[in-house]
Amino acid sequence: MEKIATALIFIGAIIWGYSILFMEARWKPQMLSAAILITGIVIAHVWEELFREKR
Amino acid sequence: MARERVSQAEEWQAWAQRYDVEGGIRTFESGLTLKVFLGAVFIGLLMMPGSIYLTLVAGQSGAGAAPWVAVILFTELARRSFTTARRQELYILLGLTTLAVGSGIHYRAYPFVWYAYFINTPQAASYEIADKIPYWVAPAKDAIAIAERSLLHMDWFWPIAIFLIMKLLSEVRYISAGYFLFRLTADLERLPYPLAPISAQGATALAETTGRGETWRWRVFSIGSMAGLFWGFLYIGIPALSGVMMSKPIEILKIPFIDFTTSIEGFAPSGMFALATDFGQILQGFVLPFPIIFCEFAAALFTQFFLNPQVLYRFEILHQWRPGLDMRGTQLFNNLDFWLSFDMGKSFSFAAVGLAASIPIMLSLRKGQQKGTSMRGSLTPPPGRGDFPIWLMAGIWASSMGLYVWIVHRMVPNFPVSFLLGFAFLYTPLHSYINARTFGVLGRPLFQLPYIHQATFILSRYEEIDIWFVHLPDEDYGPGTQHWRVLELTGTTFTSDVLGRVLIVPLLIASTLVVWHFVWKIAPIPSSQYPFAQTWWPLYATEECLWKTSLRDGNSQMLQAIRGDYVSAGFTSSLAIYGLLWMAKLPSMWFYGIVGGIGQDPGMMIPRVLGAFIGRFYMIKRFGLKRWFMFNPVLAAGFTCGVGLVGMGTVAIALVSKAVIVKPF
Repeated sequence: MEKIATALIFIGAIIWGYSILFMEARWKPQMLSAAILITGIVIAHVWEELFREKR
Repeated sequence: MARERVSQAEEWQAWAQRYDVEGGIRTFESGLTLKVFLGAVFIGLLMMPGSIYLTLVAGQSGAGAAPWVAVILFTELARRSFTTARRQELYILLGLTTLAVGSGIHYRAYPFVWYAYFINTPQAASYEIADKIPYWVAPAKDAIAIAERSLLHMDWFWPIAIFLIMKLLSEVRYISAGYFLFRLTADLERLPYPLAPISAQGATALAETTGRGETWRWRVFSIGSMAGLFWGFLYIGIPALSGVMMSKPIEILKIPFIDFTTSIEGFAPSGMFALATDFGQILQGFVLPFPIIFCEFAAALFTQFFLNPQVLYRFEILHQWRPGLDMRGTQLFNNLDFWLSFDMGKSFSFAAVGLAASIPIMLSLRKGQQKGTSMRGSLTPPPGRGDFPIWLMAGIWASSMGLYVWIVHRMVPNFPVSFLLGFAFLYTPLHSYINARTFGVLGRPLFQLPYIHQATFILSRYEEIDIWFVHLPDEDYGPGTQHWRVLELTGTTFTSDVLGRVLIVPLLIASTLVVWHFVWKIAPIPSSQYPFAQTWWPLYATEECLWKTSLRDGNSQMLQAIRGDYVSAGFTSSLAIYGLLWMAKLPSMWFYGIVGGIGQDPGMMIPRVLGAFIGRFYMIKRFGLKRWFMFNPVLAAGFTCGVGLVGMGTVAIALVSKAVIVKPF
């Protein structure tokens, strides 16, 4: 799950950067990247709280 | 070596423990006793008329320092009577006197006299508002009650009845929602509330003065108070006292900032830099978490020296800025062009991140409950704290809000009820939750949607003027959550606080109405008897007329400033920063610091940054981490008390002097 979260956050950040640099920061691609980022962040916290083995 | 990942919950837990100087071990006691209640009523009723009067005369009420004066008086009485005062009693006294002294000092808080004036102003007549003011706001402009300047008249029945119902319902909502959010942010999410220990430790230090032995707290509090008295005299006292005799007051340091914006425009056009001169904020720098202050400052420097001049200005996003603009002008135009929208977006990201973090915590609670874990990080309250069932408080808030919406709907029956429901049950919870979280982390609210009322009125296509006189159900319970954390830190039972408020609020409402009646009887408001009101109320009346008629042509500059692309940029970039920090296994404090600092003026943060560096690199080494975190809230509380006392004293001297000295010109 950690790797899925990392991948989603990475993809979301790349899309966001691309939308800022090459798509005139239009809101639609930005919101797409926001959706991907939120999914990644939620998965990250679910993994942290429920599945991570704590020392 | 790979960095070990620390979850957000664990990180907040560690910080919360650092601010909980007694290590979370405490017994809870009731702070409400008969002597506390009578003391609060006596001091409150003694000071409240003075506060209202001073506000009308000078625009300053002195309400900030008055509760501390009350607490010091109370402790002195206790010492002279050979009894002791407990910190729970002092904190309840502090809370109740704050309520009492602050009650009605703003002309909007008890708006009857204001509307009695407004309805008869030439502005209201010329803007065609005077005849459209609803009966539940003020009686007719030729009513006997207005002519006789009396609030104790049947003409005021509907305005006062509606006001009383709304006020009592609002108390219920603020108590229940504040408690609910406290449980969510402090108990469940374990947010540290860094500024809460200041009030808690102030009350504790003063309580110890009535005991037999004085501890380190009283010594540290005294050092803070003396520093506060010295700084207050330098920063507030000298300008206030010299202003009595001179046409231009002497300012040792320019108040409130020294503007360097025009000096940096050569290499950082559209950047702003104004150095805050209130070095009392160094004390805040001692208290707040170092990573937050450092990241805030770095992000603000990046904004003003790179992002604004090299990106936003170069690409003409900041298109209204012109060379020669000072800090205020630069801020206004930059906000209109970009930062207003961006800030809205980044505020939404706080809510998104908060929900993403708290929902898994709630899910993990089921596991925790099965294993029998409790205390912080769960919704099981510590024993003896005087908690209420969380569902009960949620239910009370929902019923009270529902009743409120129903009353507002009856007052403005043609206004679409869906907007009222949206404000009450969508916007208010979201707004409050975001600000509760930012209070829990940064010690200040960050979320404010500007001009949301105007936007709503445009979208609703409602054209009647009565909607402007209604208090729409958009409320922010976020700042109130800190109060519950202070109660917890002082070991005061929640039930005693609620009972105190329930007992004193009806008394205050009644007495404030009576005081306003008598103040109005002394002389018309505004008039030469009330110079501040005489100067400013006509301007307020004009402003109010402009607002209430601003949408008649469907045009508002502020509404046009909000742009979807920039809002989404603020939202998404903040989420990306959070995500990338998580990937790099860096603390989430960095996120709150960076996002909080983007768009801000770094000069305004310099005193706090100085405090943070002194604390981090000198004080901690000198005293040790644990002792320093025990000392600094007490020091800050003493400092606040000292500055408040000197401010109140010098303003009083200035007022008396102005009243008796007749200038020969």
